[in-house]
Amino acid sequence: MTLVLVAMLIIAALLYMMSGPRLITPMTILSASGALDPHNFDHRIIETIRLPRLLAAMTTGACLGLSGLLLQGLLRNPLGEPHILGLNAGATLAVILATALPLGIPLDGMARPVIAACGGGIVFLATIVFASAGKTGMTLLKVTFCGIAFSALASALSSAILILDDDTLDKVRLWMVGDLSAARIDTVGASLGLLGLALGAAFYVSTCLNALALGDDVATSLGVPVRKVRFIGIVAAALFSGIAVAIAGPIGFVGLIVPNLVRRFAPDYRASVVLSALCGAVLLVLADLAARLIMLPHEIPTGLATAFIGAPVFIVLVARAIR
Amino acid sequence: MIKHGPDRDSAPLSAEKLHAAFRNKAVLHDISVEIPKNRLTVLVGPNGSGKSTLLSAMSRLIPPAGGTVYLDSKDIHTRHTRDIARKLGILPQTPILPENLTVHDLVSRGRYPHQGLFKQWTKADEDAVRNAMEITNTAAFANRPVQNLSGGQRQRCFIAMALAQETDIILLDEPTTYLDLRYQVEVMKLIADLCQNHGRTIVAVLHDLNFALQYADYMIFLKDGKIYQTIDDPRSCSADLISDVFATDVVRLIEPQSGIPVFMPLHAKHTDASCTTGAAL
Repeated sequence: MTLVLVAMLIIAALLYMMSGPRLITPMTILSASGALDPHNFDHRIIETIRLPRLLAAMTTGACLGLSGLLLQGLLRNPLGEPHILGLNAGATLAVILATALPLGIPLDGMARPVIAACGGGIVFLATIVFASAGKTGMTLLKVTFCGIAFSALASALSSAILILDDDTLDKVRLWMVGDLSAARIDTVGASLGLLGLALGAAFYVSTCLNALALGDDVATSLGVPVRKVRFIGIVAAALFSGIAVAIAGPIGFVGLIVPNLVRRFAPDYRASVVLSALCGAVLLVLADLAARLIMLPHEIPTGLATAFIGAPVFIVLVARAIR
Repeated sequence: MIKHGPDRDSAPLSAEKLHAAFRNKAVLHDISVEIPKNRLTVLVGPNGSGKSTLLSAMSRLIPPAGGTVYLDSKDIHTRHTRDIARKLGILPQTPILPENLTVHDLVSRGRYPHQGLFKQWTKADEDAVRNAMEITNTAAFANRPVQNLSGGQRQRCFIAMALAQETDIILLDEPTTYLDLRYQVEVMKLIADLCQNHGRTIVAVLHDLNFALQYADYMIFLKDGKIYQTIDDPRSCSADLISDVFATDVVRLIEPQSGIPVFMPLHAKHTDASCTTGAAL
């Protein structure tokens, strides 16, 4: 499974580098990767446009897949995903707030994903608190609805700010619909430290998810420190979603599809961290490729392409989950 | 100062002056009890008497509101959760069953407390899983998805998971619920066998009073969150005791083979018949 995904990622990456308004042959890509010629037009396209965007797509896709994996595993909810549960909208709002408010918060480097992760985390916390209220506790339906409601609220706030503040709108217009053409490659680099941290946490949490899948009581009985694992896992999920949003804006449905796909082939959560990261990367590279090519010479935002694939999947999953 | 509980040989698990609440409502009041080693202890009592809460409190699933639970003479809440998981396992009433999980995979999950973060699957792990599947008679369908099995087979798989955990003490919350008669017998025989022949100490909540009497070595009767009475020998169970605990008139009959009593609720239309009630039999 891992090897299949690696092969798919390589093929997808190659297709991604080749295609576009200008076709670049695999031979040119090979020669560019060997020795970059700054005077060669194709090499310039590879270096300045396609490679950064490919790297951004791979990182973002992997982050979204992992965020969804952690959320679905921790909440035992097949509909868990950063876009639905409010993390993406919260992260977007946080970045827009930081841009609009004259607080002097720097939005470069590592601050951007951290701010995004905090915003996502806060909105997700609100989702969890509201969904846990009442006698029945946290049910699948309540979490999903609360997530959608808080997402809408955060998005509405973001829109309100942008309507009132033209400067901010100019800065974030493309980014906030979730588009890799506005991807910030400097953010990819600055996020590496955070990414490592979140990955470490994800590996630790994944060893407990097998037990957690049988219910909190069984997990406790097996010696899983349930509260601690859930806290670490949710922080990691917020970090992954924060990094993804900081790079590419809010992109939906990748975090939903990936874990459901991976679980189908590998029910064991210990292998799922690597698989989800790979699967997420492949999926987003392909989706972005479609977004770039489908309306040539125009491009559509990446988030739109994932929504076209993801929305029907979401409906199928809801039908299965609610039965 | 370390507080020492009762003698560890006779009671690997015990509670002292235990109080507990469930959803902010006090459920258990001043429970002191010792669980005998290598015996099947059965908790019986009417709905809401605190049976499941006692099981949860004794297995650290819920924190006590007062008093102490001792595991091997040490306060269970001062111990590391993974240490406890190597001594005591608990199977809740309705564990969640993930999709597409094979029997072998489910039973393997019982090995979690024996595995480190980087420790690989060892021969000891595989042996424990195999052994657990053999004892529970589930090895034959090791590679089938658990969701496709019958209720009784499924319950045996979960018990196998608890066995693979290799704990001396196993707590079971209504292991026979939702099973029809044949599977109830199957599961109860297995549980009794685990105590007699495999050195396990088991505490089970059972709904069916007559099943409890047939198989229990030690019975704890709970009423309104308190221990009403404990008995060592099911044969000494009187109709008065059952009538008081369940607030229902019963008739006491004797099962001829074992000499163990069977209790039938007394139907209104039978009250004028020649049935003897109370402790007369």
